[in-house]
Amino acid sequence: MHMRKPLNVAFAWFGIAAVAVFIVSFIAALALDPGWVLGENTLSDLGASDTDSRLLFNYGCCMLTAVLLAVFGFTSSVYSANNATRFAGIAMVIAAVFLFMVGLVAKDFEDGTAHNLISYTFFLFALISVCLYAGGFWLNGRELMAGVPVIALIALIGVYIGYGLAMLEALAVFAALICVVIAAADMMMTKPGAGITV
Amino acid sequence: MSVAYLALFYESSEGFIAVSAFYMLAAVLFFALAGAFVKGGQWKWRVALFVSFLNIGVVVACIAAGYFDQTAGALLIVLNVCIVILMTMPASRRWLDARA
Repeated sequence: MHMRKPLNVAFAWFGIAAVAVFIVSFIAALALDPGWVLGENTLSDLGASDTDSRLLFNYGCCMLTAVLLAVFGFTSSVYSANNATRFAGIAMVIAAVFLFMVGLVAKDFEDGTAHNLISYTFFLFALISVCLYAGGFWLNGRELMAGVPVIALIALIGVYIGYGLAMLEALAVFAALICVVIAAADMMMTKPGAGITV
Repeated sequence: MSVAYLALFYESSEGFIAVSAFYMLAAVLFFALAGAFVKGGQWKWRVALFVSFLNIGVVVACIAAGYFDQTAGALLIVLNVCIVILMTMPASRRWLDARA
């Protein structure tokens, strides 16, 4: 059945809110830990910092952002107009679960193996989600929106070759945030009821 | 322009093989994109648009990896963005979709 009262625009704001929460928490965490250097330290180093930036990163950048992203991913799956966006939303929910766990299991937990495993899994599902969202935008007839993840994914290969893993991680997260904003915009513009079968 | 940059920034070293390969790759992508616009061109609008995104991605990746000179790469990106803007115009879309 079709949803009687489509709330796609309202739920799309969860995606924007997730990005805003991440950016605000990240800037605050950076301000509290001046020893963190872009391209030299990984984002996870903020979560294992001696300062209060540890709390801001783990609770703000990871846990709260993950909850908002999970809501956004689930609703974008529900309000999707095609299968690509539907599966992208599911992949985003899985990625959000792992992002939440990144906040729970910080880098200084035991030898850091568990943290690395969780964060690599998060990035894997985030990558799958971004690729599927790009396909969804393309199928929705919003080709210019699909261009952003395509360009970002190719560009990140060059970033890895030129600057290494730490820079790749930071820029990949910010590229993913841009994709979330675009996905939110796509969800706002998708005509309610176009492909909703809940 | 890409071939000109290859000549302009040429250095006689082993490492330049990769650099010249990427300049040639960008040049090939531009040539292929140009081919889509000619009469009887091979691609539809969506495919041509995807190739232009691919081209921008390759140039940005090459700048980030340090293969391309930053100014030269920036000019190639500006050129490609102009192509994308032109492609979004309704007449361009009609032209590309009508023949492929």
